[in-house]
Amino acid sequence: MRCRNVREAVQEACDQGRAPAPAVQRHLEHCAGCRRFHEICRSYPALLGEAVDEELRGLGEPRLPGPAAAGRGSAFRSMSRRTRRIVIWAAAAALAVGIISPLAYREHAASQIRAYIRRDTSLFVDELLSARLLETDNGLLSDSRWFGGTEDIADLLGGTGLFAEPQE
Amino acid sequence: MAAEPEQRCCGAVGPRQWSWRETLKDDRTLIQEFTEQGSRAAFEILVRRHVHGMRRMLYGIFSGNREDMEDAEQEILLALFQNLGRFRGEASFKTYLYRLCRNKSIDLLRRKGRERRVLRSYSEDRALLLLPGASEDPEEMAVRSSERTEILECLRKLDRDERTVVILKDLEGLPMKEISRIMAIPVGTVKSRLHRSREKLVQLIEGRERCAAEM
Repeated sequence: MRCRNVREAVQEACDQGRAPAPAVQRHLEHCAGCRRFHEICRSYPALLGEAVDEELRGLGEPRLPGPAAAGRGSAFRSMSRRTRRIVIWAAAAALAVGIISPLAYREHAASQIRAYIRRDTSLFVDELLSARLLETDNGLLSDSRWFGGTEDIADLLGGTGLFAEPQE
Repeated sequence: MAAEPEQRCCGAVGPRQWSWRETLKDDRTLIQEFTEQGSRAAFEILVRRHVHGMRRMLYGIFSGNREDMEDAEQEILLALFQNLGRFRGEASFKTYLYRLCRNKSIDLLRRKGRERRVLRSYSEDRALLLLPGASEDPEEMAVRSSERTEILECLRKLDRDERTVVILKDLEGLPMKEISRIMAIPVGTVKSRLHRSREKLVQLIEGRERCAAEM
C-alpha cells in the first residue's frame, strides 16, 4: 500500500472508532512516517480538546437574553415562512388599495364634475339657442321673453318671421 | 415552572441546581415548553446543555479571539431566543444551533472585518489565559501548557473552515452528515476537507516536534 492510501485508511478508521485494517497495520509496522501519523491522529483530539477547554474556562456563564428581547420583532420572525409570505402579500395588497383608492375616488369625482359641467353648459347653450330672440334698439339680440314675448312658436309666426315683435 | 427562574435568566446566569426531572428532559421537550408556554427556564437548560460545544465551535471560527467570541455568543443566544419557534425539528437541535452559530459568526466577521485582527490579538489573549494554576505542579503544568500552546498554534494555522470541521468532528464528535448540514456543503466535501485539515495539522505538529528536537 502507498503511504497516501494508508493515511486515508487511518483517518477512516479513526472516524469510525475502529482499528486499521490488517494490510494498513502491516504497512504501519515498517513505515515510521505513517506510524507517527497514526499516533498523532489518535492522540491529538484529546490534547486539542483539553487545550481549547482550558481557554474556554475563563468565559464564565452564558448571558441569556432578557424579557425585552422577546418582543423585538419576534411576532413576525416566529411565523413560518409560508405565513410570513402571506402576511407580506396582504400588507402589499393593503398598501396598494390604500394608494389606489383615493386616486380612483378623485378621478371618479372629477369625472362627475366634468359631466355636470358638460350637461349644464349644453343646457345653457340649448336654452340660448332655442330662445326666441329680439333685436333691441341698441342692436343686441335679447331673449324675447324679457320684452313680453312668449315661448310660444306663434310669436315667431306672428312677427317678422325671424324675431318676435314686442307686444304693445 | 415557578416564577423564580423567570427572573433569574435575565442577564448573566448564576450557578443553579436544576431538579433531575428538568435536566432529564430532551431537547425537543424543552423547545416545546419554551415555544408553547414561554418557559425561560427551559431555554436556560437548553443553552446550558449546549453552550460548551457552541463555544468550542466559536473558538475554531474566531481562532480564540475572546471579544469576538463573546459578541458572537450574545448574538447567537438572542437569535436563538427570538427564532426558536421556527425550529421545525427536521435536524437535531444541536445541528440547528451549530448552523446558527456558523451563520451568525460569519455575519459578525463580515461586519467587523476583523478576520486579520483576530490573528494579531490572539497571542495577547492566549498569554493571559495560559497562566498556570496554583494547585498543579509548575513543571508539569509548564509542559502541558507548552503542548497545549503548540497544538493551538497549529490549529490557528488552518483556515477557518478547516478549523471548524476539525472541531466539529474531532472535538464534538458529530457525524459527517450533520457537519455537512451545519456547514452547508456536501458530505464528500466535508470528508475531503477533514482529511486535508488533519494531514495539515499532523504536518504542523510534526514540524514543531522536529524544531523542538533540533534546538
